[in-house]
Amino acid sequence: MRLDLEAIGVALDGRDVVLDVSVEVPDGGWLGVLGPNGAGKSTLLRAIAGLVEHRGRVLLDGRDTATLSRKELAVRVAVVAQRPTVPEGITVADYVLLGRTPHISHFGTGGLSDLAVVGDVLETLDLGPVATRPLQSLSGGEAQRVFVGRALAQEPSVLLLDEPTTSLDVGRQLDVLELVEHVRRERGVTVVSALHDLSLAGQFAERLLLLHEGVAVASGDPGHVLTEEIVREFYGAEVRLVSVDGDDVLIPVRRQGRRTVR
Amino acid sequence: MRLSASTSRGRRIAVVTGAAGLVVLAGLAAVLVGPADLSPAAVMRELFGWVPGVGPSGLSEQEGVILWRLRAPRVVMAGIVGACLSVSGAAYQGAFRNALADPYLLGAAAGAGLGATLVLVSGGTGVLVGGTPLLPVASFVGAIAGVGLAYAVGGSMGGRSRTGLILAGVAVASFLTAIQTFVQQRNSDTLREVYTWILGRLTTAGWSDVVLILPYAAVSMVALVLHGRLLDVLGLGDDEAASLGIRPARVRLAVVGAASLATAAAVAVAGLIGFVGIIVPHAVRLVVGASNRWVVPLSALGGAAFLVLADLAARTVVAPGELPIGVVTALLGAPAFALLLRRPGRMA
Repeated sequence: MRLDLEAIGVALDGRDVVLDVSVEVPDGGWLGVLGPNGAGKSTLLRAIAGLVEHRGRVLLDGRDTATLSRKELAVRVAVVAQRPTVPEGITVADYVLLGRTPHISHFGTGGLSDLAVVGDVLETLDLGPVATRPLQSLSGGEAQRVFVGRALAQEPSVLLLDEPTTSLDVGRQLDVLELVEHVRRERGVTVVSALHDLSLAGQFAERLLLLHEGVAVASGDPGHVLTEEIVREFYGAEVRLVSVDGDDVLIPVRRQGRRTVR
Repeated sequence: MRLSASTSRGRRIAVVTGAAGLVVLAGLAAVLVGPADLSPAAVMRELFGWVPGVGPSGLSEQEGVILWRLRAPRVVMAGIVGACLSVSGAAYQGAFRNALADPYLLGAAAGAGLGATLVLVSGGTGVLVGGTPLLPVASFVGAIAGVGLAYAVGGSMGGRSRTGLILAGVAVASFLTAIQTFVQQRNSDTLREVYTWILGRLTTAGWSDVVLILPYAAVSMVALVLHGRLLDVLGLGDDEAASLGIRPARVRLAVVGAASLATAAAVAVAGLIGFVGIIVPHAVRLVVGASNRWVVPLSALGGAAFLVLADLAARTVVAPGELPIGVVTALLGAPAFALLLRRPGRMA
């Protein structure tokens, strides 16, 4: 599903957090949203998901999401929060089943087809062996797979991920992003993700959008956005751009060089 | 893969059946025991006289009155009140994502206490048009008014977020309790009656009380059981619940409304019976897990059985005297509550 943002603006407590952001994401594309802490990445994702009041228009295949009900929107757009709330004692399977909510009538309890979707998701994400375990007992990487699983159980056309790799070790970070890439290719899901790690963003996302104080200061393909100059200007960091197997990778450099300890 | 949900569902259905059986057994035990020395065999024959082959019970007319006019309505009343309080507790805990929430969280107890006190100090025997006694009506209205006030204040404070509502509930409860205490102090001649009401009692229950609260209890319990899955969605937090297509504030309003109706019904006829709304849902969770689809209906059954047995204890332990049922539930409930507090991670 094609996603267009037209002049999205969000004000929280009278302060502009996102200002006039426009970007288009083709069907099945992956947009990485970058920016320093507090740049408005999460707020932009929340605006796309209809979780916060915003100016401008969010279009799904040309249709303004303002014309959709909460439920109709939830059938199309799934969100993986940065720090999802884990209800106490919930099992992995029950948690993933909650993703079926927009497909179940208000007072319904879900049917066999919903269980079938959950079973399918658990299998895709290799979560079968832990299906009956409490979600709280899983490791960070496994739990992140479950969070993505709940979103996939929604069978969305657009998947929004808010920094899905935060607090994971580098191996699990790659696992999660490879998983998202797999889902995107297999299911044709359009992905928008806020990402912290610039190098990973450059390697996975097709297009990048750099926010600075709520304003889109750069957007385009990774080679266009991830330059030493841009990172210096908006992150206040020295980086070196290194090419690894055809991908540009950024390496942070210490400002004053190594000091010797006396 | 195929989900193994069917086995856990089978287990849960077995637990529901077992809990229903427990309610029946508790009810039987409660009608068999009492200060009047009715023959258990005769009582059983009287109860099951409709079964072909069961002979006449042999109860005298007076004994029949004791069974059907005193014991039976009291047992049924205990069951309904226990179910109402436990279901409300489970619902409040789900709606506020707080393991320690109880049905009185938002001012229902303080409101009911004020309503009851006002009636008791003004004579306590008032009767509304149609013969409905005033005390339960005043308690009921007080409970609903307390929660309504908390909702109104919470809405103006923090957009009906759960923290805003809880804080508003604290403020409203303190305020109403202060008024209640003031009224009570000004009318010290009725202190004992007010005190007795606050400790909770099922002693005056007759069928009229059962008829009075049954519609509210039934409607609110059905509504809460229907909301079980939505409560599970609310457990994800308002933001994530909204991203799944539901309106958290609206669902919470419906749940709190239904739970408060059930609480008000219970409070109207039984006064303030503490701890049932906390310990029963927690005990249920230990058996069937955290899903409110099962916790809510099972809390109804568990609460009914628990309060019927607690009332049995209340009227037999110091027979021929009676303990206030609130004392019994607190004696059992407070230690259980303390144990829950000691378990880290229990507080959401």
